[in-house]
Amino acid sequence: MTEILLVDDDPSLLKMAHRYLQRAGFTATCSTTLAEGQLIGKNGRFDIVLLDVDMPDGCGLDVIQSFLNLPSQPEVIIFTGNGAVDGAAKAMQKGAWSYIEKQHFIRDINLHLTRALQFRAEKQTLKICPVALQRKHIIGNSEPLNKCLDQVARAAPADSGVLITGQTGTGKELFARAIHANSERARGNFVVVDCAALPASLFESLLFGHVKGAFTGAESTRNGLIKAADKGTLFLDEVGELPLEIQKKFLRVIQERRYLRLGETREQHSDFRVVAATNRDLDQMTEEGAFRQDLLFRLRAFTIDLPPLCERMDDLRELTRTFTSRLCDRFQLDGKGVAPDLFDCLASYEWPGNIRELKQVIEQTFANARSFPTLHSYHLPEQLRIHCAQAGLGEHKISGPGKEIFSPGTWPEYKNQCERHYLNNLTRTSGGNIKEACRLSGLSRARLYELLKKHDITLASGRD
Amino acid sequence: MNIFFYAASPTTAGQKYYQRTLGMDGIGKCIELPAGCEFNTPGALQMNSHDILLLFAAGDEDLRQLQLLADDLEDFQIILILDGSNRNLLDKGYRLKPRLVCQGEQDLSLLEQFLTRICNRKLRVSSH
Repeated sequence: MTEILLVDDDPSLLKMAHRYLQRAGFTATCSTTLAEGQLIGKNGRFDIVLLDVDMPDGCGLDVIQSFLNLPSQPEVIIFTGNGAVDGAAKAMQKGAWSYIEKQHFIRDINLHLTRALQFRAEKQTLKICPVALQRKHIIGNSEPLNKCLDQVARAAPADSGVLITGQTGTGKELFARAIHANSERARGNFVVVDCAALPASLFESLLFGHVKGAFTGAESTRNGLIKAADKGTLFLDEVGELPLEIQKKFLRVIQERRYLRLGETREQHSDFRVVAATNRDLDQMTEEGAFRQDLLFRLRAFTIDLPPLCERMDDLRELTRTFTSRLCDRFQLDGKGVAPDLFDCLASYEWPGNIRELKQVIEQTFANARSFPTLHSYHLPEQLRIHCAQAGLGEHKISGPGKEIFSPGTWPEYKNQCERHYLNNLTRTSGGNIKEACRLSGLSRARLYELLKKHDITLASGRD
Repeated sequence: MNIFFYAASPTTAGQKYYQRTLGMDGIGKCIELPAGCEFNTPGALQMNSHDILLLFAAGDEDLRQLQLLADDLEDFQIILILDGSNRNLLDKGYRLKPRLVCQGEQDLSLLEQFLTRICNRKLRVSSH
């Protein structure tokens, strides 16, 4: 049965409304103060809150959000004796479902309740249904990947900045595209700013645009990438490479959505969302003064840390089959099979270049097996075949990074051993210096500490 | 990492831009794919994902053709070269999600600098 919480300081109105709602088949509970109403709300499962504006302990409009945040996430209908237009606007802006006047309570309440409950029912259905996330080219079903996809589903509908981190080749741009494709900006442009490749001398002009004659060579007025991303998404790839002087100007743009083209005094406007990606440790860069902290805060309202391929080897088979199948489509060939020996070989490799490396290996394998109906390990690039052969030397002897280790167990056990071995070597090589260890490994400081903790290794003394 | 040049249709303008690309310093070899092919020629077997693909569009129809190939293009680092600075073309060009858009000959110096930086970056990563 629908439960309604009535919050009003007028006992006679409460009595009338309570009786009316009960007769209409609802369960109604009354409260005469905001504080009491919130307390009752926390302990109940209310669908609707009917909230007065002028209350003895505050203004109802100021606490709409806290009622919306109650465990049952009810819809809030404001009812007031003073039907001011600005009050109604304020109520709507704060998330109220509707706004009715007390003198028309009997006349209007049924319609408002019906519509609000209809909306609520739909909202709850949506919550139950899994979000149909568009995940074009994001392949796999492993736990680490699904965790990242959940984060995409949460981040996409919001309009805040997203920072995607992960090693080279883990698919950061693919995830940025997925965020764009699943957002309300999907119909707008997805504009890539390659912060590492844009020439420093032209960065400002390319980003902000310029007017004719702004500098030597500015032969015509041109809009920049920020304008191109209007109503869409601006993807700052390798954002750690963003020049410091641009960081300051860009911060203002993402705060105000206004900017100046070079050589112009009239401000331009662009309504864009920022998604950024990096494989660098921006916290460390901030400590070193190489990246602005205020910009970092703006960029990472959401953070998605993509796992390296070695942490999602459960996806290896699906990735391999999908890449092969896409190549068959592209070259208009009937499907090709993938032999088990090829999977074994792929599984014995550490994939430091992650999915990008796997994809390139499959492409080379496919090219080598052009006329074969099945891809075998024989078709793999030579370097990988050698690795595979070495891995298979002796019974269950697998080549680890640096030296051979005996690993009779499962893949996670093997990976664990390799990881531990690597970390011990890394701590020795870096002399226990965290900065140096991060530089050598390409790992972020947080990730490195996490791994060291996992293996109970202290930086001062790497040990086997 | 390889660099490929592809024009949506065979035009003299496309040839001119390809020749200019060949003359650029510091970017190594640039392989021309047959204009208008569907990325399934034997030459296209040399293409690896993340290779650089310079796409040339002389006009609206060329862009439309490129958009039809968008699925095949997603694996590459796209640099779009437009013949001229038509704003309408530019807006449609962004649908290909390029890493750089060059508008006409005036942007060839930018293209050269951009390619050089990408190639150097690749070298830095490889030698790591």
